[in-house]
Amino acid sequence: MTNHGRLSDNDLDALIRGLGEHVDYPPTPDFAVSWRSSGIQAESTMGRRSRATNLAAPETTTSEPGATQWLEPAQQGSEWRQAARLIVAGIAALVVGVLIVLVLREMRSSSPEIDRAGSSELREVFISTFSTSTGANESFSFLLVRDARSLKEVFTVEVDLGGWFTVSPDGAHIYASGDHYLSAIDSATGGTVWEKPLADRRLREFGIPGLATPAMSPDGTRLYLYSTESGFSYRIEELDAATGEPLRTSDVFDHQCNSRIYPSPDGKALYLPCHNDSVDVIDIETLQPQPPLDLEPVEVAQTVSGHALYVLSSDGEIATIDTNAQQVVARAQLLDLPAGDAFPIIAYMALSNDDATLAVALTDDVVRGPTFTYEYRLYEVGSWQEVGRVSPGSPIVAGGLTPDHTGGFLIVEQDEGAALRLDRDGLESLVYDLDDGRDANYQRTVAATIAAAAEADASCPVTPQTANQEIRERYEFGDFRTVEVADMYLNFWGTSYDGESVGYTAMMSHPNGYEEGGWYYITLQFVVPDLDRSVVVSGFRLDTAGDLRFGDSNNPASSVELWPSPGMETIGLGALRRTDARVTGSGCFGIAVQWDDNDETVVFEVVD
Amino acid sequence: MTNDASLIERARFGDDDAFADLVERYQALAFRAAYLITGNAQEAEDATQEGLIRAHAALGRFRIGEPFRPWLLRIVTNAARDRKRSSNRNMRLAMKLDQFERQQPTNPSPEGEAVAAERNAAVAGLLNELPESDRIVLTYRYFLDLRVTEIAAILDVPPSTVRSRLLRARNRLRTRLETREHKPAIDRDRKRDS
Repeated sequence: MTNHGRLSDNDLDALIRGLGEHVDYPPTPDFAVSWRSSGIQAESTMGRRSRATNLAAPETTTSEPGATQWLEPAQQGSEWRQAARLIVAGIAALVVGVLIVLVLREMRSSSPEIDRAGSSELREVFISTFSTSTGANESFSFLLVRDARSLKEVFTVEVDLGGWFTVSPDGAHIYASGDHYLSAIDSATGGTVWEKPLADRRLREFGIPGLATPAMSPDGTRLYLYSTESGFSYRIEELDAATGEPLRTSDVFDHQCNSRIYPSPDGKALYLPCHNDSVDVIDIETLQPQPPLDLEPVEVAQTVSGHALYVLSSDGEIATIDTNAQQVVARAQLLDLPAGDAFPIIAYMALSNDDATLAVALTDDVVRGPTFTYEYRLYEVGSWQEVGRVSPGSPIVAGGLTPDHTGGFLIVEQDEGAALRLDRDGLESLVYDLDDGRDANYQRTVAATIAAAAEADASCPVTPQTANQEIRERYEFGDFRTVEVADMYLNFWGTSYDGESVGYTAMMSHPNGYEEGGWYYITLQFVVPDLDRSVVVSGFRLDTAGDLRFGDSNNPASSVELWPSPGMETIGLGALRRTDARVTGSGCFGIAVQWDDNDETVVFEVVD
Repeated sequence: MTNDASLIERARFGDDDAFADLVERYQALAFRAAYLITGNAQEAEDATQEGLIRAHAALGRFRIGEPFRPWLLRIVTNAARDRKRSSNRNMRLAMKLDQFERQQPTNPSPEGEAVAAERNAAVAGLLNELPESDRIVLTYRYFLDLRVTEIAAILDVPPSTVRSRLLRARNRLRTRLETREHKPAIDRDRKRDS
């Protein structure tokens, strides 16, 4: 606990985890022994007998100590128990048959392959890598794909990821490398297409895992794998992208490079920035080095077409490489950096997707200690005139800088994955929270276009109230199940409440009891700041098919006032207020939240 | 040790010993998962049995290459939820609270011990009051040490939903704990003022 009585995340984690050690679990019955001793010889997949049929047989009991007796009560010699057992066994066969049908239905309905099958649409996404560590010996790495517009998760796949990843030109595959494997991932499903061990491929000089990062040939048929161990030498391997099989391996080059490979669009050369020294050029036909380009690269960005490579040196000079011509064609002083060891230092650089703007992130944490405060500067490409400068007011540990799909940039915060959008107008918080409740650590985020089914087109009309709104959530009714949507936050920063804005979460409930006269109920929960005035929540419909009301069925209202009041459940500086909203079966709805001078709207679609 | 895929392949072609090996490998986890939902040993045992039967019957449709553990746990979890629903019984996890109260190495003083024990007991109580969906993600994550992606597969929801449920459950626990611990202080202050 802190001095203010606030439980820290770590304390809470320890408390919950400690509790888990004190659950009084009963001894686990030995199901396996029962399974073996029941004498059942299942048939092949084509004609396997139902286990339930066998369970009906009284011979299936077992006398082994601690063993579970399949659907049989303990043998106590009671006659009614014997009779009941026979009845239960008979019913069990029927029930299990039904269960199998239900399981089949469930599996069919939940199969991600089916959900995404048949789609060859392209989808603009952000691909992030993050790792979670839940203990001294436990760390997992993930590749997270989010829709670039809605920022909703498309899929997350756990991968062996230590190096970089790259996307094929057709967007069909993502290639990722880690400590042990190089993987090809199907962009549509998140499934693994192939996975190859790196042990024999990676350049190993000392017998310890080294770094291996992939890059793709412009025609999408070859992968180039950069591998190193010590960082002082490297090797390039050419692989068949379809199978992961090795085709050629270069010599070992004694040079300290940055591990990223930038291919030229004509497929003739690979460029490797070598830190503060040069840009190496590898001839693809021979896998032999060409004369290096005399630059001192710190950060590198390539145009969408791949024809130009911008190299920023530690002294602030920006150089333009014509990648087909294999030469430096322009140089300019981009940053006026103090000489010597004075900083700020260059942290990240990215080029907008229209190739018009270059963004540079600078940090001065070396000078002022680990403040992790970044300054972002934007430059017009070509003229290299500064067109924008932003210094975030609060410390943000940027996990990278990447172009978005609108000519701006995305910054993903390292610890919680909150996202900010940077463009010439400034910095805007997109406020999405990737925190998994553990210690997710976001390393890299890149914009990409992949071959995954795009989100269904918004069918809700645009109205003056919603002109700038995307559909933020889609609620689906069906199968009489409860659908719980991810939390939504209005102007809600990360996971901590700032005490000034209104937070909002929603939960859709759809058991039978909540469906009355064509209305469905959504439980809305607001975190209301400590204000003198009420927060007004209004519901409205965007099309003629829907309606939204608050309150009970006798007194439906189009709006509701939420007053902060003493004694309410509190979160930090705010108070929780709940209300039920009723919507008709399907349609497009909006919820407007007004407090003080603020007015925010969430649009959502209900699909029946 | 034979890997899951090989055992599954053999079990699909009628080798019940192979399936028994799989059961042996995951039965403790499956049973605990069921117990965390039902809070009752017999119900948990029945649910685990039922889940294993369902899993055996569905083996032919298991996608080789996918992780088996969350697939099996998903079936067992659903069986446990079904059983709990039909029994209409409130679930209460049995905690070894007596041990709890004795094991407070980080709070050496008697007062510290009492406070910590009280808090642990409170957490246990609050845990039982959480909605089922929140309680499952919390207990599966912290008690069974399952990964978020596994829990997502088990519950058939996106990982983001698991994360938000985790976050919400943690916040609920935190809020209730803080409210609970704050209240006596207020009461004390009131008494003192009066």
